[in-house]
Amino acid sequence: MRRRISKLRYQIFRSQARTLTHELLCRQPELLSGDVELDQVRIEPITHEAVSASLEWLTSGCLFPWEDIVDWKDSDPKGFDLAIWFGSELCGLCYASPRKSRLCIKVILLQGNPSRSHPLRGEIAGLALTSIDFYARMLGCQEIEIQDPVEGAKSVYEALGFTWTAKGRLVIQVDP
Amino acid sequence: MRSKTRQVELLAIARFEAEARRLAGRVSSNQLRFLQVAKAKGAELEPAGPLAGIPS
Repeated sequence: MRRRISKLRYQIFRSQARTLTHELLCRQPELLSGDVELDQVRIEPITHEAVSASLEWLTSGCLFPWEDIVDWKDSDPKGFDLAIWFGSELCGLCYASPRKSRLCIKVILLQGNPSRSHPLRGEIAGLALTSIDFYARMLGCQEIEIQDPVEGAKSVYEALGFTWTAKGRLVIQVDP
Repeated sequence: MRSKTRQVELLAIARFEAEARRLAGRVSSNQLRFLQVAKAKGAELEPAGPLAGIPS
């Protein structure tokens, strides 16, 4: 029972991090591009529906192992999964986890829809990291790390405020 | 017995929701910057497709 309640706690934390992100967008819609219809934006866990939708991304020639996330979540109770939708179109997927750390949550996988014309183009990293920031503070983590940034995306993370440590880690401190 | 377990879970859910919001605190300056920078520069800087991780 105790283990079940502990899993439930992290499940509620994940859910609240996604909900808080959506509430922030509803309160401050100017944070998204002006032509985005906010009522179409959904921030949800990675479901079978999301995994199925991601298979369409295979045409781009690159797909992360999103179908494994269900197993990852079973063995990683603090793992944080995120699917960003615009209406019925899947725009982004993310998996982050502190694993055994109490101080650092790592963005392990982050992928946007490969289409250059999806409605949330350019806003996937910002939305995912906003949710992760909420979750990080719930867990008491002090930093967010991008574990394996894609070469072409490094400038995005730097523009968002991430910096490189002497050991080559791409991190940002979580505001207390 | 089952309803008692369910009641314990419902109480736990309410407690954890309150705890999550208390711990999350207010919107941080990082979060505002993430969204503001994404809006201003994301279309130019953010590549389509993979952003972090190693493909399978």
